[in-house]
Parts: sequence; structure tokens; C-alpha cells
Amino acid sequence: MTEQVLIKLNNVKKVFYTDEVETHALSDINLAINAGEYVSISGPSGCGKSTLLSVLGLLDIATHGEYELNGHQVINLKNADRARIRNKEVGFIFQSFNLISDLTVEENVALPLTYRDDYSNQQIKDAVKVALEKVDMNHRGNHFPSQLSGGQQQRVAVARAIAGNPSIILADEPTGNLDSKNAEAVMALLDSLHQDGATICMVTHDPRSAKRAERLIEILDGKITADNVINRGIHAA
Amino acid sequence: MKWLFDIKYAYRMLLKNPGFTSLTVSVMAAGLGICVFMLAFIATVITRPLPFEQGEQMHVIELEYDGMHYNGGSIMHPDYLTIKEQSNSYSEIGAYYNATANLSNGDRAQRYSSVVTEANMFSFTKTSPLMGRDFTDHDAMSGAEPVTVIGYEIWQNYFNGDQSVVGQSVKINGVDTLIIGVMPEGYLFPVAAQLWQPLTEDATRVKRSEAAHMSIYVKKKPEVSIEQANQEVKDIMSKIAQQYPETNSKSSAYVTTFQKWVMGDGTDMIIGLMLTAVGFVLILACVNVGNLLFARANERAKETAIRVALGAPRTRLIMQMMWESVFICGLGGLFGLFLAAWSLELLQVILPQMLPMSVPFWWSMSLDSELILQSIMIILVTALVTGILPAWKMSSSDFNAVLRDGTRGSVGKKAGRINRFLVIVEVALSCILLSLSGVLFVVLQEVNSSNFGANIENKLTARIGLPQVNYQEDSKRIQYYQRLLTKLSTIPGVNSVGAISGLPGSGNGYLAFQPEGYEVTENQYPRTGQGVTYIGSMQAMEMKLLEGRYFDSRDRVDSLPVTVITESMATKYWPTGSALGKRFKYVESEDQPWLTVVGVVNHVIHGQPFSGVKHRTTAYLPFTQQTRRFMSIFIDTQGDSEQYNEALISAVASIDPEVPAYSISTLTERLRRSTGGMNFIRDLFAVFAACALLLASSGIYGVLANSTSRRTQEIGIRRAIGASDEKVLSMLMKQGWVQLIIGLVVGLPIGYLVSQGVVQMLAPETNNYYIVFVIIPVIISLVVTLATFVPAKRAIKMEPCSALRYE
Ligand SMILES: Nc1ncnc2c1ncn2[C@@H]1O[C@H](COP(=O)(O)OP(=O)(O)OP(=O)(O)O)[C@@H](O)[C@H]1O
Ligand SMILES: [Mg+2]
Repeated sequence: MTEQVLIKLNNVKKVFYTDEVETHALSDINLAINAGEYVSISGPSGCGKSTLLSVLGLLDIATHGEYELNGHQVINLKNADRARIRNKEVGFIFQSFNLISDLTVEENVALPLTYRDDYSNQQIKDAVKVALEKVDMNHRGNHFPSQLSGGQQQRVAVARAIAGNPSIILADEPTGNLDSKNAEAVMALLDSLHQDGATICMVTHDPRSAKRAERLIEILDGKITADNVINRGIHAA
Repeated sequence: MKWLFDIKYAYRMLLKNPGFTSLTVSVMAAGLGICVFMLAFIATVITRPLPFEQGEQMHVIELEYDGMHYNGGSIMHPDYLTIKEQSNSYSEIGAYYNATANLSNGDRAQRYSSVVTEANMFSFTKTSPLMGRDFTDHDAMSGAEPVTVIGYEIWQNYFNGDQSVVGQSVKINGVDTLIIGVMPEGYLFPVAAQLWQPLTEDATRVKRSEAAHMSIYVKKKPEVSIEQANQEVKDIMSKIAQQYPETNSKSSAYVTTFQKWVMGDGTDMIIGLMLTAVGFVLILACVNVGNLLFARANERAKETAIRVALGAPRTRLIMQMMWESVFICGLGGLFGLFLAAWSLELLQVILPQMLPMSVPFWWSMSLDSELILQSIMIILVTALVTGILPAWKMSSSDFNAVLRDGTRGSVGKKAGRINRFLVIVEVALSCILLSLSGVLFVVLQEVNSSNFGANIENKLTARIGLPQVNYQEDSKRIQYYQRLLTKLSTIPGVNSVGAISGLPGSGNGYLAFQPEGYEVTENQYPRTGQGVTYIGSMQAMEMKLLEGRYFDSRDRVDSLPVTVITESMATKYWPTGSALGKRFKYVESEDQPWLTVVGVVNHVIHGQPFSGVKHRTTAYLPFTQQTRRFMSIFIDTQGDSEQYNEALISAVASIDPEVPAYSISTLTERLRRSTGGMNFIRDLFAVFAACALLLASSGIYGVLANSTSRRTQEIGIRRAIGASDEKVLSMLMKQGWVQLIIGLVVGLPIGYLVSQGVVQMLAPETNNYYIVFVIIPVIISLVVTLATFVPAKRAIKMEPCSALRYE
């Protein structure tokens, strides 16, 4: 596969100012992620993993530094443009699924696509069908999230993340709320997405999950302390 | 359009929470319904042009005397001619005066209100008669054959729709008159005319002081503004005043619309008051629904954060939340429109029964397309107002924090503060409206239960108008009333009878007079009412004699001119000693005799029992010495007076078939009508206030229910660690009470100030309205307590463990 650089962080810092306390959540992060990579991020609680993911996903703005996504500088973009890029280029998977309880499975998956201008209603329908098939949830399309198990909900969340063919999938503890059996199923799903060529960046506490990635980044106090390539070639086609 | 996706979602959310939906929809329905109703009322009564071609240019010119606007046809005929000649503001102009027509075909007389008009009235309104012909200039020449055009109602009721009515001759006020036409149904121009006669008087031949008084109808040229027209007519009138200072020194004129002219001068204030009240109610409704939507948006903060994370554009986010308020306001508006249409129909039926006058033809209360369009605009604005704030707030909140796993996503102190503020506004607003309507209620209660100074029970009354032609001489008039009263007293069940120029509660002449021995500087004469009573009538009315005597057979045409005055007049002008034997004379004209006081009766209210008029003094004169053509007769009956209707009519007809009894009603009914307008306004305010309270209480309930449910988990934790139910309950309710007290502290003084205005206007001497300011806080407190208690009680009913699981 081509070694195309998808994400490039240069000296990124993130400082939170609260009640006169400065929290340096991220300091001097330099990081490049190539297209098709499967990266796992781990580290102790409070070290800045989620913050890094938020910055990567344009949910939050770095206090300092440069961020190039898909060849474009995205650090100084307006809110509307950030929303557009988030919608198009990024797929989020959260620990607590974050499905909208009053939308059906199909509608939840369709939701990000309805925010886009380049999808017709028919295209949305088709994309939803494909995504749900990938996570094997197409038979539950008309159910509401409350009618699904936790594992099923997370699979729907994965379908939502991939429906719009994003450049990168960002997952923050995707198995944190699941028992081991369901966790395994979701991890297998991510594996297969990766095999199909998706770029994945996953935060996890669980060493077993972390090992399924091909690159392991460790963070401590907002700094990258280790960045090891493992398993390279095992999954790569 | 991806909007469908959001619309479907909004619709689903509304169906999912039927309680929330019905609460908000009914709040909006009440607010918008009242608003549309009032707009329709104001449009009908004031702003909608008359239903004729160029109706928007039709105006009236009327007398302004000493700065006061008259509306009873008061411009002198020669002055009208001058205005007609010298003004340039109008494309058409004409004049008329109101009269009454005793219509008789020999068998049966009936009284109608007629209009004596210049020949151009029908062409002015571009309306041709249904049958027969219009007036011609020939009809209006003095000495022409008397003709009349009758209205549809007379044709149907008096002539039973007789196709050959045109060409028939009838007696009108004793004069043979030819019917030349019938006007179409509903045509009552200029106000509520039933019959039209041509004006044949030649103003150039009569003395100025004896000229007819008229109202002028004009069609303003579109390019002339009302201010210009006003200025022009004032200039003309001031020139006339210089020329004829003895008649015109204080006279001027003004131009106004027919609608405002009929409503009188206070209109703008009353309408302003109404609009303010309506505005309040609408604001309350919006605040309320906005509040509820906001509270709910808070609960869905997490959902919004998810949408933001998924890259929702801000406009979509706002629109998605707006849809709900669009649904709620749209649905509420729809119900409100139906409600308004229905109440307007009701009002249309009730109004004629409530008002002392006949209803102007343009008062047909209904929604027209323009109003519906306005309503839709208002609905859209309310949807925007109620929706935009919560939507804006939510779409700009810190979604990153909300997404943080584990938080339930409620918006913290900021939103709570806004909600609390809104509740305070609601309490204050409903407090103001409630005090206003409460004070109106108390004041009008007092006004309505005024002691009129007579026994008003069991009296059947009617008006009699003797036609000028047959009753020129005093002796004929005296003879007529003597025979009539004798006849009336023979009706079985009648205790006593009487005739009086103005009944208690009805107006009297209020004339300048000079008490003997008073130094009166030029034109600074005091005024007193002048009533004329037939002998025995004051006794029959049970006006109590305090001193001296009533009128009796001693008081003849040629005997000493005497008067019986009210106690209020006696103490005002002769405070020391007895008024008996004192003299005064009216100064309206030179030849007025000195009147000697022979009796004092208790104070009697003539006119509406409101502030100024209520205390007006009155002097009564014996009919024998001061005859009138127009009198009110009354009979004091055993049992229900209304049963004597027929007997009274036939008794009157038996004396002179050409003189009908009209305006027949019981005295209590008549009095009820005279304050009908004010009572109507009171009821209106009561409706406003009831709505305001409903809105406020539902709003308070909704907000507190929401905030309590948001705190369910907290409540669970508190109870799990051992807080007693009472502690939790009082903690939750305290929140509502703080806002209640602030709301009252703000609202009560404003309510007090506003209602002071009302009190000053209607009955400044009332003081028991203070009770209102005790009762209203109690009512509001009860409602707020209930509104906080219900959701709080629900929260502590839940087992602590299930509260902790509550998501
Ligand atoms: N909005 C915020 N305001 C202030 N401080 C914040 C904010 N968000 C994060 N922080 C701080 O930044 C630091 C990094 O937080 P972050 O959520 O990235 O940690 P994490 O590595 O994801 O931890 P965990 O494994 O517990 O999820 C922490 O010290 C946290 O308190
Ligand atoms: Mg984290």
C-alpha cells in the first residue's frame, strides 16, 4: 500500500485554562499517521488520550502547533468548515456508543449523511444499507437503540462512523462499556475494516486490544513516550 | 431536502411526549387565540375600512367644542355649508342628522331611527336601492312632497316584505310620506339607520341659533392626509368663529373616521390598554413555551453534542430544534384561530344585547383573509421567538464537555439562571394582569351596585316621543301624559306609574345655572342636571323626600315656577340652613324664570355611575311648568315586569295610535346596559388574567417539573445517604418559592400603579380594592406551590435505587 501521509501533527499543544489552573493536556506532540494505518493509543488515565483524539477529530482546537489533514492545514478553520471536515473525513466511535435514542438504527447511521449536500436520498439509503451489512446489523434497521444490546449498539455506532467513507476512524475506548465477548466482536469488526483499507486510530486501556493494532503509541503526561510499530504486515494486504 | 429527516424527528419527539406537547400547544393556543381575537375586534371596530368603494377615504367632520370632541351630530347647518364651500380636501361631501320616525299606516305605529340626509348619501356609498329609486335633488327642495327610502328591516318586519311597498303612503311623525325605495339588506349607513328622509331645510332662511345640527360625511381625496384635512377644517371654523362669536366662539371641528367617531375619544386609550394586555399574554405564552423547550433542549444536550461531533452544520442544528417550536406554535395557532373565530361569533351575538346603542353596521366580527395572514405572521414570529433562544444556546454550548463519557449532559448554572429569570417574569406579569382585572372587578362591582337614589326594582319603562306637528302646545302635551298615565295605572297589577325626562341612570340635560345671590363671573356658571317629572312620578320612583314637598296639583302652568332638588345640590349650594325657598335660574337663554325650591329629595344618579357623573346634582321641574315632547314612562308592577310589555304597548297605542312606545325594557336591564361597555371590558380582562394565570402556572409547573426530573439522580443520592422526604421536598419547593417571592415583589407594585389609573378613571373614592392586593398574592402562591409540589412529590415517590439508575 502507498505510504501516503494522512495526518501530520507538528508541535501540537493543548492547554486547558480553568479557574486559574493551567492543565497541559498535550505538549509538543509530533505525530504522522499514514493512510491505512491502524494505530492504538494508550496511557494512564488523564494523560491526554481523549484530548489528542478530539484534536485529531477537529472536535477541539489545539492551543498551539500545526495540523495537516489529508494535505490541508486545518488548524485555523472556521467552525462551519471544521464541521464539514468532521462530517466528511472523520468517523467517531465512542465508549458509550452515543446513538440518538429517538432515531432508529437506520436513521442513526444515516444522520451524518443527511448533513452532507453531495448525497441524494437514494445514495443515503444505499450507503446505510452497505454500512449496516458490514457490521451485520441490517436486520435491525427499524429498531431503536434501546431495543439493542450494548454490543449491537456499538456495531451500529461503527456503521455510523463508516457510512460516509471517512478518511479516518477515531475510536475512544470502543470496548470500554462492553463485556469481553462483545468487545471481541467489535475488535474483530475493526480488524476487518482495517483489512478493507480503513485508517483507524483507537484509544484503549486494554493491552490485548492494543496489540491488535499495527502501531502502538504510548502517552504520558501529554507527551508521546513510545511509538512502536508492531504486527506490521500481519494485517496489511 | 434533508429537512424531512429533521421534520420527521421533531414530529416523533412531539408524539413521544404527549404531556409536553399538549401543555405547550394549549399554552400557545390560549396566547395566540386571545391575540387573534383582539386583533379581529380592533380591526372590526376601528381599523377596517367601511365596506364601500373607497371606504378607506370615508370620514366624518364633527364638532369640537371648547376642546371636547363631540360625536352626536353637532355642526350647525350654515357652518356645514361654509365648510362645503371652502374646503378642498374632499371629493364628495354631504350632511345628515339623526331623527326618529314614528311610522304609522293607520293601524299600528312603530318607532324607527331615521336619518335626514342630503340627497347624495346613497351615491356617496355607491349603493342603489333594492327596489324603487334614490333621492333626487328635487326631493330635497323645501316644499317638495315628503318622501322616504326605507331599510330592508322595515320592509321585512313592518311591511312583511310586501312587493308593492314602493309607492305606498305612510305617516311619519304624523306627516303623509311617500315610500320611494327600499335599501338592500344590511345597508344601515351612516351607522345604524333604518329609514332615510331627504333634508329639505333651507339653512339660509333660518336664524343661526335655530339651525339644524348635523354630521358631515366626506370622501377624502387620497392625496390629502388626515392632518391636512383637520387643519383645513379648523381654519375654516376659526374664520366662522371670528364672524359669529356669539354662537361659535368655542366651536371648532375635527375630521375622523366613522369608526373612531362612533367609539368616542377614549378609544385609543382603551385599545392601547387591550393591545398591551394582549401583548402581555402573548409574551407570557412565548416565554413559557420557550422555557419549556429550553428545559427540554437541556435534557437533550448530549444528543446535540453527538450531532455536532458528526459534523452537523449550525443552521441545521438550529433548524432541527426550530421545527419543534414551529409545530407547537403552528398547532397552537390553528387551535387559537378556531378559538378566536368561535368567540367572535359568540361576541357578535352577545354584543347587541349588551350595548345601550344599536350596533354600527360595520361591526361584523369575523376573521378576514388579511387577519388570517397577520395571524400566520404572528404565529411564525412566535415560533421564531420561542424556538430561536433555546436552539441558539444549545448549538453553541460546549459539546466537547458534554461528550465526555459519563456526564449526563445537563447544562449547568447558566441555563438554570435563565429559567429562573423567566419564571420570575411570568409570576410578575400574571400578577400585574390579575391585579388589573381584580381591581376592575371590585370597582365595577361597586359601580354596578351603586345606589341610584330610587327603587329600580319591578319597573317597566319605555320612551315616548310626541310628534312635533300634533303636539306643539303645552296643553296638548300635558293632556296626553295625563291620559296616558291614568290609562297605565288601570292596568291590573300596576302599583303606580310615572313619567320623567330622564330615568335614574340615564342622562339628563346638564345645564349652567345661577343660584340667587351668587357672584358669577362671565361664563363660570355652575352646572346642574335638569329633570322634568310628571306629578306623582317621584313618589312612584320612591325618591325619598327629605324636606318640603313633592310636586302636586298646586304646581300649574301659571303658578309660581318651582323645583325639587337633590340633597347633593342643596348641600353644595346652600350648605348652611335649609334650601327651601331658595331660588335659582338656568341661564341657557334669557327668558328662563327664577325657580323656587319647594322640596329636597335624596341624591339621584343620572348617567353612568362612574366617577364624575355619579355625583352630579339634579333639579327637577314639574312637567306642567316645563313640558317636553320626549319622556320616559314607567310602571311599578307586581311580579315580573316583563309580563306587562303587551299591556303597556296597547295602553300607549290606545291614547294615540301614531305615538308608539319604544325602547321598552325594565329599569334594571336598562341600567345593566348603561354600564355594559365597562363590564364587557372587565370580563375581557378577567379572561386575559385567567389566561395569564393559566400560562404562568403551566409554565412554572413545566419548568420545575423539568428541573426536578433533571435532578432525579441527585435526589436519589441525597435520599440514599439519608435525607428525609420532608427535607428533599422542602429543598425542591424552596427553589420555586424564591422565584415566587421575587416575582411578586416586582409585579405587585406595577400592578398597583396600573390599577390606580383604572381606579382614578372610574371611581376614585373606592378604597376596598386593596383586598385585591391581598388575595392575588395568595392565589398566585397557591398555584406556584401546587406547581412545585406535584413534580417534587413525584420525585420523592421514586425508590432511591431506581432514581439512581434514572437516565
Ligand atoms: N475541558 C477541559 N477543561 C479542563 N481540563 C480538561 C478538559 N478536558 C480535559 N482536561 C484535562 O486534560 C487532561 C487530559 O484529559 P483526557 O480526557 O485527554 O485524558 P485521558 O487520557 O482521556 O484519560 P482517561 O483515560 O481517564 O479517559 C486531564 O488532566 C483532564 O483533567
Ligand atoms: Mg479519555
